[in-house]
Order: sequence, then structure tokens, then C-alpha cells
Amino acid sequence: MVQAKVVDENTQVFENVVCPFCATLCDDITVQVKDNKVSKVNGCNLCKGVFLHAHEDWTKPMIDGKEVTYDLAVEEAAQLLARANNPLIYGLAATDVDAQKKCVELADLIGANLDNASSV
Amino acid sequence: MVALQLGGAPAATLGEVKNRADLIIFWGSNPAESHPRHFTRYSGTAKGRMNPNGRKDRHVVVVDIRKTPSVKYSDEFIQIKPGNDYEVFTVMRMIANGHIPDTDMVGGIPLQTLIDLVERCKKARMGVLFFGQGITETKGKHQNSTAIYQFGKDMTKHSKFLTLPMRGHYNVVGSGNVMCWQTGYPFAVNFGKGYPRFNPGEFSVVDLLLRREPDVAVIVAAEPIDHLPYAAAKHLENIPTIVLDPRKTLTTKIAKVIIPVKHAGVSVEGTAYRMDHIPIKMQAVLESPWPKDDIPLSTIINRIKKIRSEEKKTDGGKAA
Repeated sequence: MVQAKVVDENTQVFENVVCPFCATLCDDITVQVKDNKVSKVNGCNLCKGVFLHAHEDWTKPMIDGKEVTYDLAVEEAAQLLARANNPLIYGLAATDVDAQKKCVELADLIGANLDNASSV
Repeated sequence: MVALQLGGAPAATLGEVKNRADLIIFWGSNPAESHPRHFTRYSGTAKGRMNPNGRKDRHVVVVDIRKTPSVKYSDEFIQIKPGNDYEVFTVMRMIANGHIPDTDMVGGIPLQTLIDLVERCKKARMGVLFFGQGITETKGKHQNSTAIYQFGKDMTKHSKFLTLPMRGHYNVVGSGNVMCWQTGYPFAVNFGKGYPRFNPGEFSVVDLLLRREPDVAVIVAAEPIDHLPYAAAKHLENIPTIVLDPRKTLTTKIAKVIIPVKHAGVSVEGTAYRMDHIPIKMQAVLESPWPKDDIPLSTIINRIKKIRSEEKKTDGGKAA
């Protein structure tokens, strides 16, 4: 986490935050966080959408629509991929470069097709 | 991407655009809605070294099939008939090379307008043509972008001229860069033979799914159910799909396995590439209970290696 200005006990202000929405990657956003929720952000409407709703609709580890432990979800994924004949790994456009590199490593290991959003 | 490989293109950062460009063309791109601050930070009102008066020092042209919200921020709006981009760029290349076609209208645009536009591009101190999905997602697809890159090449004989795509997702440029760095190819790569092979049309996601070839899918930080053509996306419902995403999406609805992860740039630090290929370090402002997405991916990789070595042992036992 970057150094934040502490306003009061529960409120912090982060300056020069980068907005992860579009590829303009504005790096001058000020984000106010209260109780681990974004309470104020000064970006465009798309940026506001990212930060103000960041805590909504979070996913949980699931298999077939049923909530499971994190380890079980990861194990199920590994089992499926270990037995796959022609797997596909797709996406990568909305995460950071470390995750993208891991996707390449996984694709190499399992002989997968690897594609990103450039192809659509 | 294919267009870039066919045509090649001169590059510059958005900082150079801000400081030098006096002609900005948005073609099939609506930054007022898709990249709202692009205009104020780099391409419109931003003040730069050679543009001390900001907006007054730039001529902004919008070319689109309809009057988009970006038009009100422009000096000139040129309305083109849908699906005619390739034809118009071919004619613009003709004009640039001294051939005037015997016609009054091209793709719904008066010929004189195109002659004036080409003249403006030739005389610009630095011209930048930003093109968006109106070019890449219409009839002609990557051939449109190829025509744009070739037009840009023609213009560099007369002025500094750039043709830059308005990339969408915040790190779609990074995904291309990382794949290039790791595999040698920017997208549509297959590792089936143990080494990377590149073939758009064969290993690209839409084509693979339309042929119903994948038997398992891993979706990392993407929304194929929403963004891919319906017939292609439908195959993901019929095979086990593993989704790594911080948020519920239409794709998590059809997923067999959902693995929650931190949101890069919101709840975890990370690096992303801006549309001009500049890597930018993102910060975290919130806390999330889940790990960053490369951690479950590493666990999966290690687990698969273990499963395989165990299988090898049992197979070896049988053979003996």
C-alpha cells in the first residue's frame, strides 16, 4: 500500500492513485477511503465506477454454484487442467503483468491455447 | 495487432502528443465516453511545450458514423458511411500520392473534404490519428487498421505523423507485451506441440470457441460471455470454465469453478501498460481477503506438476 494521509481514525486519503479502468491509466486520482470502503474519488465517471463500487459483488470460491474453501476451488481447477486435452486460457487484459506472466507459464505447462482481448 | 505486423508504425508517448501535436484526428473513436480524460490530459485541452495555449493550438477532427458526444469538443466533424473506412483510407492514400479519383463522394464524404484533410495532415507540425473500435470492429477489421498505418507511413514523408490505437482495457497493452516477451507472439498462441505457435484465425479465442475445440477454459480477468459473439461464448457454457475474477460478472454465472482474487490497482499493487506502451505502477487503496491472481495460478501450476509426476510413477509401476 502507498503512504496515505490519515484524516481521522477510520479515514485515509491516497494521492496520485492510478485508475485501472481504461488504457489512459490516469495517475493523478485522489481516493478517500473510510473503513476500507472508497468514500470519495475525483476521477471521471468510469473511474468513479471502479473505485466507488469496488466492494460490491465480490466473488467467493465456488464449484458448480456452491461455496467451497479456497483450497478446494484451486484443487478442482488443477484437476480439470491436468486432464485437459486442448485447454484455452483467455483474458489477461484487466490484471497486472505478473498475473499475465503466470498465465503464459500455465499455458506452456498444459499445452494450452493462450489469447488476450487484442484478438477480439 | 495483425495490422501493426503488416504495416508497421512509428510510435510516440502520449507526453509527446501533448507537447507537440497540433492536429488530432479521432477516427471511429469516441473518447468523451470511452476515455473521458484522454482529451484533457493529452489530446485536447492539455497545455504542452509547443502548445502553450492548449486547445487553441490544436485542430481536432472527429470522423465517425454518427454525431458522438466527442463531436462537440472538435473543430471539424466528418460523417462517414458505416463500413467504408478502408475505401476512404485508400482514396486518402491516392490523394496523398498525387492521384485524384474521378468521383465526388467517397464513403459518404465529399472528395474535397478528404483532399482538405490530407492537406492538413501534410502541413501539420505533428499529426496524430487515434483510431478506435469503430475501425477494428467493423467490416474489414484488421485491414482497416493496416490501411491507417499505411496512410500514416505516407504522411511521414511530409510531416511528423502518428497512428495510434485507442486501446480499451487498462492493461490490454500489457497482455500483448508480456506475451511477446514470453512467447515471441502478441496473442493467439498455442503450446500444444510444446513450443509456442502463432496463428490468428486458428488459435484466436473466437475461432477456437466457434469450432468448439477447447475442453476446459481458464478465464483470467475478462468477461467473454459479455464481450464475445454469442455463438462463441455459448461453448464456454458447455465445458468446465474456471474463472479468476474479483467481481461477479456474466462469466462467473456460467463458471464451474470460481477463484476470487485481489483487484489489481484497487486492492493490490501491480504494473500495467498505458496505451502508448508506458509501464505504470499501480497502487492499492483497499484491503481484500483474497490473494493476488498470480498466487492461485502458481498453486495450480505446482499442483499440476505434482499430479503429473504421480501419474508417471503409477504408469511406470504398471509398465514394470
